[in-house]
Amino acid sequence: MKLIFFIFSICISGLTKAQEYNALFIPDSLRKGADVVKRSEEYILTIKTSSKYTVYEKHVYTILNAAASHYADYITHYDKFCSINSVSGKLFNMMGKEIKHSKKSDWKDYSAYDGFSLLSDARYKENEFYSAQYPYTVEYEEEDDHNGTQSFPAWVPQGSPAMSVQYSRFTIIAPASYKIRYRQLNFKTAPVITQKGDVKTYIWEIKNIPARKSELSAPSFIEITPAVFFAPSKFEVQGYAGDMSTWEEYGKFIYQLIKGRDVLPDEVKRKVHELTGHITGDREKVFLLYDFLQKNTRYISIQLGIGGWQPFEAAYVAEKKYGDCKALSNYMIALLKEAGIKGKYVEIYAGKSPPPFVDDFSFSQFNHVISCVPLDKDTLWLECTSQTVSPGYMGSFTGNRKALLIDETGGHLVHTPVYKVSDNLQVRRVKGVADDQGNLSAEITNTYTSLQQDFPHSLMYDASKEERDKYLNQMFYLPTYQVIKNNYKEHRGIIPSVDEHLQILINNYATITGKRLFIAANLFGGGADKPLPDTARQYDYIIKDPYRDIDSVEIKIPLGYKPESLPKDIFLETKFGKYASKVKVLDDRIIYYRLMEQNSGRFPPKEYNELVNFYQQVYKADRSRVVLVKAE
Amino acid sequence: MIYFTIMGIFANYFIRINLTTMPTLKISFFLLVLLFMQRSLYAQDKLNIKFGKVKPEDFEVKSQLIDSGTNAVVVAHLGKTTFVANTNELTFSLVYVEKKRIKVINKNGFDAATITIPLYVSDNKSEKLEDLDAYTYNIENGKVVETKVEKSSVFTEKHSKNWTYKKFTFPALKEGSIIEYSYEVKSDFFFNLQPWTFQGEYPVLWSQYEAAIPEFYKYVTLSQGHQPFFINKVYTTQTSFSFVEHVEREITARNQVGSALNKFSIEGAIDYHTWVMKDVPALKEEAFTTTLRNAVAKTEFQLNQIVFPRSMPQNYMDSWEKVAKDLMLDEKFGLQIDRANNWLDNEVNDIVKTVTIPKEKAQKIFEYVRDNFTHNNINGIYITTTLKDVFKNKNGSVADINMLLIAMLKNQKIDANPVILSTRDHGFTHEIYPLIGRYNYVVAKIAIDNKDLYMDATARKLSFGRLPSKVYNGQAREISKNQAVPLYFMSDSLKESGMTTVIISNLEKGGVEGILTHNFGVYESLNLRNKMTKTLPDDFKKSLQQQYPEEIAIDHIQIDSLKLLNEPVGLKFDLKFKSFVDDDIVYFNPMLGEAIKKNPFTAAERFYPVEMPYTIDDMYILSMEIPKGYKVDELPKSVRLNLNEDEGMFEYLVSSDKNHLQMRCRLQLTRATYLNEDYQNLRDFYTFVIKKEAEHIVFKKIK
Repeated sequence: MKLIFFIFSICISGLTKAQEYNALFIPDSLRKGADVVKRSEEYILTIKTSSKYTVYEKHVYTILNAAASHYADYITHYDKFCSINSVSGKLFNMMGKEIKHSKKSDWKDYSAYDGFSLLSDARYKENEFYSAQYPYTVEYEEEDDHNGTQSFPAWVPQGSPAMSVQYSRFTIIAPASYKIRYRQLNFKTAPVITQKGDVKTYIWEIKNIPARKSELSAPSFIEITPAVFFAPSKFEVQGYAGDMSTWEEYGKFIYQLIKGRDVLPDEVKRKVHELTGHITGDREKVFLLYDFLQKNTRYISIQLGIGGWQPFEAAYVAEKKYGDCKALSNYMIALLKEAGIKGKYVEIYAGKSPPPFVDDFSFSQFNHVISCVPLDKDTLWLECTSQTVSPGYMGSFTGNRKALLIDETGGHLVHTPVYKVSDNLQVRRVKGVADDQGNLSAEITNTYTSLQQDFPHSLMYDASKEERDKYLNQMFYLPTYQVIKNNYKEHRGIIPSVDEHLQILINNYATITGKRLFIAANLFGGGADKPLPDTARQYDYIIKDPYRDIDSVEIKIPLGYKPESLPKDIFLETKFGKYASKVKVLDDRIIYYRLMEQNSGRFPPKEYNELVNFYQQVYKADRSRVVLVKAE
Repeated sequence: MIYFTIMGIFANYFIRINLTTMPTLKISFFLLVLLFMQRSLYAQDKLNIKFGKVKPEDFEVKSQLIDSGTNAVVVAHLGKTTFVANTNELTFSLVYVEKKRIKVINKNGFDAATITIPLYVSDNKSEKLEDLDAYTYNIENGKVVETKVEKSSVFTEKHSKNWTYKKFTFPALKEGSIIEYSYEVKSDFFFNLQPWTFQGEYPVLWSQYEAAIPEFYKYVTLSQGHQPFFINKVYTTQTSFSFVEHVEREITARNQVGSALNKFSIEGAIDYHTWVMKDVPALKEEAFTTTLRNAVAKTEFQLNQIVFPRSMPQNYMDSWEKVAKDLMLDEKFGLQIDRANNWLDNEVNDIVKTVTIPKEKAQKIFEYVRDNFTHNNINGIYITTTLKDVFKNKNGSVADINMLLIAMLKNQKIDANPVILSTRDHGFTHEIYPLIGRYNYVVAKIAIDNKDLYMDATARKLSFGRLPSKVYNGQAREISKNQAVPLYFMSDSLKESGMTTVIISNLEKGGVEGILTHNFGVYESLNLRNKMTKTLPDDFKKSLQQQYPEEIAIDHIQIDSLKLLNEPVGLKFDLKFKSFVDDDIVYFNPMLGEAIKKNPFTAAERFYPVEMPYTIDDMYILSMEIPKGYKVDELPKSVRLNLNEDEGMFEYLVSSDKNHLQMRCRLQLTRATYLNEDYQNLRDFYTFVIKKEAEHIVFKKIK
């Protein structure tokens, strides 16, 4: 037995790179549905002191086809907190034979310009390998020094659904006294922990993760794939010490960074009193001060050193009239404070689709800062980087998610407002006239509220007139048309709304062939994707935002036509939503009514085809045509 | 269609040429008049603003260019380049001064308040930013209040090896603010005289550039765009530049070395140029534009020659013959393909071992390079490394790969030459001057049996003898020893033909079924081939199904010749119809899922020519058995429509008898480029096509 074991281990260690990286050795189970196979991966995170750690990483990918060729590129970021000690790459052919080794000159160095910051000290290095023959393999190896232990890399072995993983390992080496915190997601196996003297080692490893299907409206990838997040307990960064064990402690650390940065120049103080001195209601005061902020500042992002974590002082914003999200929120809170109102600093993850929040594991899961004012009945949320959004409205940018309120007592996790079906309305009224060539001239009057007004709001404010005109003349799925006039009016509020008025001319909207006239009563029925059934759906189907659309259309048609074929009236009521459509022809007018109500929810795979069936009926009904024939 | 008829006219139309090196007598004669005009023009012409002095009335900016869509307006933009003598270094430097005043009208114009000044950095020299002054001006209580951009708020970003950016944003910015900045850059890169762009994202009321160029430096001035000059003049004066030379001298008595000063000056004429454009509208992005680079109003300079008194002229811009000669002697261009390159012998002999005639050899070599080498997306006409390295690494820039291809062809005694050109997104090349900077691409040319063949081995999956559509951008040059022969690649000469055939027949059990066959043109084939390397068959089927109406299901998709790159791709699938079973009336669109449903020309107005990649000829043929139990109740009318007589054609022919229905629909655009004046016709043409293709055949059940 011993001998066999001996030979076996020789085989393992004697495995050359060529054999190890030979793409032919990839098992079929890992090829299936995959564009790239992660052959092996190693992370070694060594915690040196309370403020320093190093990371060694090595990644080996076999790229199976062109869809994954970007995995041949390697990008590594660095900034004031992180410097690259060494980084290198190798390219291997299908058989695992090395064909190229990256030279120092192959690594290009770039400023990591994010497209909106005025300045950032973030930079990155990049190497690209090219191969015309698939499959091929790349290996990248890197060693970084980190200054500051406020964050650690996460271990997410499977980088994307079309990646399978043969092997990945994450090791932490830390002083025995160091308290590392971790949180495992979709991964049950506990780490192997060993101790040698004063040094403790933690090892997580995983083998053979097959590629996954990418499905429409599926849960975010991180909810499905194995992952481990790491965070410190006690940490230090650029002279600031903190503790991240609880949200409370995390909040205390942030508070320490913002404390005392709210001193306003006298003239701004005077302005605050001038604006709010004669007002009694807090709510009204907040609105006035927020309006003052919106009119007098703008958003400019500057990301330098600890500045990525700490706001510029209120006096800086008062003088320059610009700042990033942290600086502007801090300034807003300072304005409120001067008026005797307590505002709070809030960390949040902004964007339409935030990653799932891990409530029970405190570490920075945020990318944005806003402020809020807790009032007697409710809380007013203030987005300080926008010059146009209504006070109290969060929209899809920061609504319906976890946020961390920060004050002198620490951090407090809360959930931001959820917008319901009845909040998110779109009501459209169309009055049109079709001439005997089929050209339709129509007046369209629409009202959008809450999440449904986010887009018209940005058309109104963020787009220039030219961009708006251009967009309006492309966005409708109509053959040839022109939006002759457009007009917008906003009603500000916690639930804001936008009125839109369009005058539109559609060439040949109705098709006239000989004695018949074909016309779709629903002007907005085109464009959308046709829902297709899937018998092998794997993941839940998620509808995040509920809404209600109501359309009423009246089209006057040329005289002398009688209906030949009318779409049937439809009324559907399902757990996914409601739909109704009705068409009738009264003399020379087509009258159409449509209701679509979308529920939010998370629907299991077995209900997927039922859902598709609902959408298919909607799809068909939305495209149905009225056929009229000329009375002889 | 000036552009396409005669290239000479094209040059005059788009690019006005001045040789600043020829101040003629005529110009001197008008000197006094011009000087006088200059003064009076300035007075009349409302550049009555003073930088650094903003008055309340300056906030009232009036212009017909400002409408409700204007977010910011450039009130004045001034630039000036002068040559200064570096007295002690015995050199000249360029001093460039720029001043700009912008009125920010609304929040969407705030972007105008973030400024980036790029500075060129070379190994031991760098351009220096001096005297940056920037202020925001606001009106508060009827008074103008200024806020300075502090030095500490100007950031430096090391953008790349050769470029450093100075960046700042204006403080205290509000809707209605005026922002103003001025700076000076001193540069030793005198061969790089600052170009001037008159037109930008915002309208410009007054854009003025001045250059005072000593006669020792001779530049070619190139102006382009669709905007007229308001002032374009030059006058000449004499000047002298003083220098002080430190001369080391031997002091003979004690045999020591000391230094002495030698003062001297150089006399010469200076040409003072002034270019002004007034009321320049903002540049507009439009669909079907190859690049706005061709449209922007701009003046740039190419160093032609440096001639100092009593010295030999140094030439910086040569004739095409000289350029060709130099290129062929350049290690980064011709030298590497001119060598024997015997290291290629074994490899190339192996590649061509199965064929004997030159054309077949060329094809084998081309296919080998195309299929085994990857383009790293870097363009440019110079080889970036050695061909040996390129061969070893199997990747490289367009020059690396196509020059290697040429070397391999030459290895087999096939006469091959490089052709340099500019891709469509890179802008036009210049017809007359050998402005090498305007060329960014190399392809290979061979002549076999008196026929020219072109190749680009970076174009993945493109068939032998074809070039990608992006290179069809007008003038190119074939480079050989002592010769640079002009060639023209015109998108109008590219024809993309597609052919769709549908056969629908009756089923035994009732209802109908069909088969659709689609043969793609060269570029559509190329697109599909590249798409299929990344798309699963299932996803492809889904995307096709999206195109078809709900009552038609598609199945059994077959793609032919996906791997036979020299053949067009054929797509074939079955059609299953839900209709024609028990419906009393069937409204049947004979185009099925192939109709054009949305006008590609969405904008009602057009400012620049429409530039499409190729001409189009699409044919659609339907042959249908009349479904059993049904009769035709109504057929669409057959029509034919021409676009501008012969620039396009649409034909829709349909007929039926008792048992059969035939339909033919053809769409032709015989030009790839249409002038903006033709835009409305083109849009109307498509409106008609869409209307016609939406029409239905009405079938009724026989009772």
